[in-house]
Amino acid sequence: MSAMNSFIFSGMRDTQMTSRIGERLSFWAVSRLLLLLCTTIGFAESASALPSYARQTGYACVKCHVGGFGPQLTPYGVRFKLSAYTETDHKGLKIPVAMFVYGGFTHTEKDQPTPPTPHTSVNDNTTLDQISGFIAGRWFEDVGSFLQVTYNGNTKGASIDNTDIRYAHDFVIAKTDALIGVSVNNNPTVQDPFNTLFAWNFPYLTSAVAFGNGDAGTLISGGLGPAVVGVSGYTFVDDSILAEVGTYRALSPAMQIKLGLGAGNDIGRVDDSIYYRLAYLQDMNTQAFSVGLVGFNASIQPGRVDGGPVNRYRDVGADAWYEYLGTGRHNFAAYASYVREDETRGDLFPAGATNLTGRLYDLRFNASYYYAQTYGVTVGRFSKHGTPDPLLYSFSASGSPDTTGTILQVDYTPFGKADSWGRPFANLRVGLQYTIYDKFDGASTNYDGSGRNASDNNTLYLFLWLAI
Amino acid sequence: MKRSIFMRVIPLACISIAAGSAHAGGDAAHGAELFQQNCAACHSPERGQNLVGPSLYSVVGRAAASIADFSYSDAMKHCGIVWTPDQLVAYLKAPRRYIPGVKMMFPGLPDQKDREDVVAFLSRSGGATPASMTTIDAPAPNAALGVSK
Repeated sequence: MSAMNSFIFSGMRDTQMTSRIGERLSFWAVSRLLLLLCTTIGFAESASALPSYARQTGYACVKCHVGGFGPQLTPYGVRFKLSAYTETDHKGLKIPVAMFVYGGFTHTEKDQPTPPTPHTSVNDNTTLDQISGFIAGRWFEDVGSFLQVTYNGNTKGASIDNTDIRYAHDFVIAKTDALIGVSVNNNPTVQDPFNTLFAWNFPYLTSAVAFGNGDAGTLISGGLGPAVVGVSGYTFVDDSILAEVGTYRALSPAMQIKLGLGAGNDIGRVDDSIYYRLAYLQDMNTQAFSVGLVGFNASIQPGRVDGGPVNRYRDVGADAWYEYLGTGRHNFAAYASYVREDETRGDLFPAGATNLTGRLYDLRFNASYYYAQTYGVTVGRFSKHGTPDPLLYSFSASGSPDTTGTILQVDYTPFGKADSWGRPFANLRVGLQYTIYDKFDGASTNYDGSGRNASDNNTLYLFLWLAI
Repeated sequence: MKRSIFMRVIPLACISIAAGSAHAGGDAAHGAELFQQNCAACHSPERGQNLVGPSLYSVVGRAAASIADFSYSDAMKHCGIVWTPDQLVAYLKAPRRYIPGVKMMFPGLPDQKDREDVVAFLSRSGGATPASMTTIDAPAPNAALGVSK
């Protein structure tokens, strides 16, 4: 999960408010900032080709992942996920356990105003970002999981992370293959098999100590994170049409604490939520594409007050996905997504938000090329813009959430092929990622009113990612 | 009993002879390349080597779902197919549409010539030629006696 994906209403200027409103705004500023930290650090990127799946199936990583590491799913990987991670070669004892670790060196164009975590400096940080353990694989004939617990090297804490437990079974209806399944998960879009939506989109790995303040995001882009539990039912008809409907509820504050999500990070009560997804996949063996729609509606009562005012969010988006796999020598993938969020701030408005309603738009696309499933280059573009609100987006001098930029990444994945050394236990990716901001919080220069420019947040991240 | 064995062998012989001829025009060398690219991750052409998919050794002429120690889908178990070259060529176009409910997650080879080449390779590598007919795995009795979709 990247900093760009985090969902916050930027800190608010309580000096402009009455003391009561100031308290609420402070609560919101702090809670959203904590949520930002939680989402950008504690719930950091979780995707990878898990060796337990490779051991279960006997496949090399490249069977399910572009570039031999993940999380970019091939059409085969899409089906594997939708089939509840249960495919197996039935050979020997299968233990659905895996782990990965990653960390790296982060350099920001200009020193950050304050250290991003208590254990780091304002710049040039070398960090062990994440150690994750997984229960990932087949439990029963039709039940499997991707269940992740993460130790965060920056916050020095462990917590529940992306979780997706599934049941799926193939039925034949009217002489047509229809996979029908149920997913229990803790993050809207984590159950999605395409790399276009929030949980699995590019960048797949980001620095946990990059500059992130004031980076707004839509609710479906990580706003609820692991603090909810949801159930969705889906069908995948004729290997081409995916339809899914689900709903989410917030975990109780006590349960969030038990799962390591921390005290004081409660997102509030989530009601009336509905997640829906419709996608069409055309797999032509050497290449494939999909187009789809996604939506998420929810009401949030931050204080969990019965009958209290709620903030309503209506996210609707579209996505497109294309992969050329060819013979495996040259792989090309391109993904795009667009989300529009309509907000009605029933709670935030009386607490000080300038506008009762507002919109946020999130557009992303990226393209990657892998040679021999080993040497990769990816270029991604992101653009977020929305209705200005000086109080909600107080990190911005203009009250704007608008942020645009480009991400460049080159990486090297030496293993993961059928003939790789140490398969399936040896998995490694080394990469260099550079994030360039054209605009940050509404401006290219002096966006925060204190002289900081968007380009000051440009981030270089050299990472090492291991999975066993 | 003797009649049963006789009735099982004769159709197999016919199928296997047909396998040697019906797709004799297929390019087995090209089929081998296609097999490596598309099939080898899940299937071995070696006898007794089941991967995620069953061994394709001697698949031509074999009844569907006939390898005893492989876990087939119900759809495959009940399809009643004997894998003639024509059946294989048709199946490989879009497996999950040809037999809805099968586990094989492969979209298929759209090109007819490619499919014929793969079947030509399987016919040779599996030994489903008249000379090696005796190595064919024992088929399920009902399947060997009737080819049905």
